[in-house]
Amino acid sequence: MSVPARLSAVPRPGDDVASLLEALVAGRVGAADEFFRRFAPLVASVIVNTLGRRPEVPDLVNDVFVMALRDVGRVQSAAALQGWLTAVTVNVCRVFLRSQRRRAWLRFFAPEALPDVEATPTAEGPEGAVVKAVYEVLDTLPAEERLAVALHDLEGLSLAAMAEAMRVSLATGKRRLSAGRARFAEKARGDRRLTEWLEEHP
Amino acid sequence: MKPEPLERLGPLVRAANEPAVEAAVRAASLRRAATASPRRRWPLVAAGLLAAAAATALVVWRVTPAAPTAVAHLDGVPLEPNARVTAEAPRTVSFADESVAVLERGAVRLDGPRALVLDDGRLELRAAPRRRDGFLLSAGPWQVRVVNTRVAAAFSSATGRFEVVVIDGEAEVRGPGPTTRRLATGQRFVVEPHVDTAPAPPATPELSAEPSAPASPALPKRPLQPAPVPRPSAASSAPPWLEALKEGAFARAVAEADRAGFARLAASESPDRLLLLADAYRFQQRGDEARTLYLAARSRSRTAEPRAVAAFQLGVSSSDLAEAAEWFEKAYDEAPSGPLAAQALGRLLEVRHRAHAPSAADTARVYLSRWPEGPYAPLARLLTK
Repeated sequence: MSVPARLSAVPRPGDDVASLLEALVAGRVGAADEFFRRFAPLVASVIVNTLGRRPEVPDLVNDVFVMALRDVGRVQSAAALQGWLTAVTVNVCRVFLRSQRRRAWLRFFAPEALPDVEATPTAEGPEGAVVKAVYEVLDTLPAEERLAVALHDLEGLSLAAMAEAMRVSLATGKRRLSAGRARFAEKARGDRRLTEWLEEHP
Repeated sequence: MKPEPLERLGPLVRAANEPAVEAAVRAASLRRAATASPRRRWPLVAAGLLAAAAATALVVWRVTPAAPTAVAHLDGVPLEPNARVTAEAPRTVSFADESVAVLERGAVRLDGPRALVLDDGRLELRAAPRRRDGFLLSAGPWQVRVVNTRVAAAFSSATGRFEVVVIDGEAEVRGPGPTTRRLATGQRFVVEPHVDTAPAPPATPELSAEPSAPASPALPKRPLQPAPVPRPSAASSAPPWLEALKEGAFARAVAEADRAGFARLAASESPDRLLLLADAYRFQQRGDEARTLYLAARSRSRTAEPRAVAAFQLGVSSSDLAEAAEWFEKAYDEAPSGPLAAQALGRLLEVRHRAHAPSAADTARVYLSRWPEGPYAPLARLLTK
């Protein structure tokens, strides 16, 4: 009995990334689920650390995978898959950040569209207040500077990985990181929660 | 050199965000599974409910597995929601609700947890007994709804020939028109398309009742034979307006309906006939009467699809964007696997876009998840960028 190509292999957790990429490109059954299972934590981490805890995060995670599954054929090698997926994720964050201000007025007219404050876990206690303050300051930064500082200082990417994820040169990445840090430091000085924490944690 | 403030804050933020990352993965996983199902209820994806949906997902996760569950398996292998299966020898597709389809040859596509599209070939379907709304088998323009039923069906994409026989139980067959035919055990429904090169009239279905012949216990090994029983002779007793409609004489049909008494017909005819008559009035530019008949059809029909058809036409004829959106949403919600579902959702997307409704992007996502190559896909992609 002949077996259609799409049904001929199902990637399993033990398979390597190369096999997974091959299965994704071939459109094999189960490959997309395995791709999601394996990389969703990375994607969610980048999104949450970049944008903060927002009710839109699950949708943004899915948006990333919709785009990634559509374009996965462009990935040149298994070694490039994670970096490429991070870049797709960063682009989704970038689009979200840029659209936020444009859509802000809609929330005024459509209160039912406001995020449910209970929809995502909230950080408790003084540390929760500090984290909240961090994102309040980040919300005031230009999108590209915010991406740079979030990817490097919060998500923990190396400078090279940060630049690759932002699809800019290393020099440009460093410049944006430096500008974002400086802007953050200046604004943080005006926030009591941040100044107190920074004084306690030199 | 002293670390930057954000460098010092990084570990704190990362640690604080970890639960949110885990929750986001679980919620995304559930939403992914829900989006794959075309039978989800519209409120799940309606405007402004994204946040509520995420909250719901988090609550549901407490009692359900995080990983999406495949709606069907092929020979034991999980299938993706819209998977296509081809077969040159019998292959078994098992659904999560315990419905089973044996594809003898040809190709089928999953269209949801209880919906299958026969693109070509022959299959036997045994629908699970528990579902009140049944299992939907589509083939070309035909749809067969089965509940606790075994049916065998054959469809040729080349000729358009369609045949379904009820082996055990009952089924409803619906075609391009609003008429629904009910089949019982042993009955067969056949559509023999014209094969000449001249423009063919609409295919005429034949209904065969063979109560004396035992139903085939298994899918026939040879092509199903056309039903030998002649067409029902009820046509002679049809009212004049219906006779005129069958001839395609819409002006005469409307005149006959007026003569018979519009109000009486609107109050007494069956939902299927009301839809036909409403179309005739619509074709004659008599929108008010058409609207009255569509509304009457909706209020009188006890099944979802005639109501959905009427809702769709009410949406098309509405000049108010908000009202049109309401009707298209009803049309989609009431028959998400019906013949007008794609058009209803596409029109809903278009109307919401024109109204600058924030929910247009959500509608676009749902549309793309179901009809990524559909006629409204370019607009949907634009709205999801």
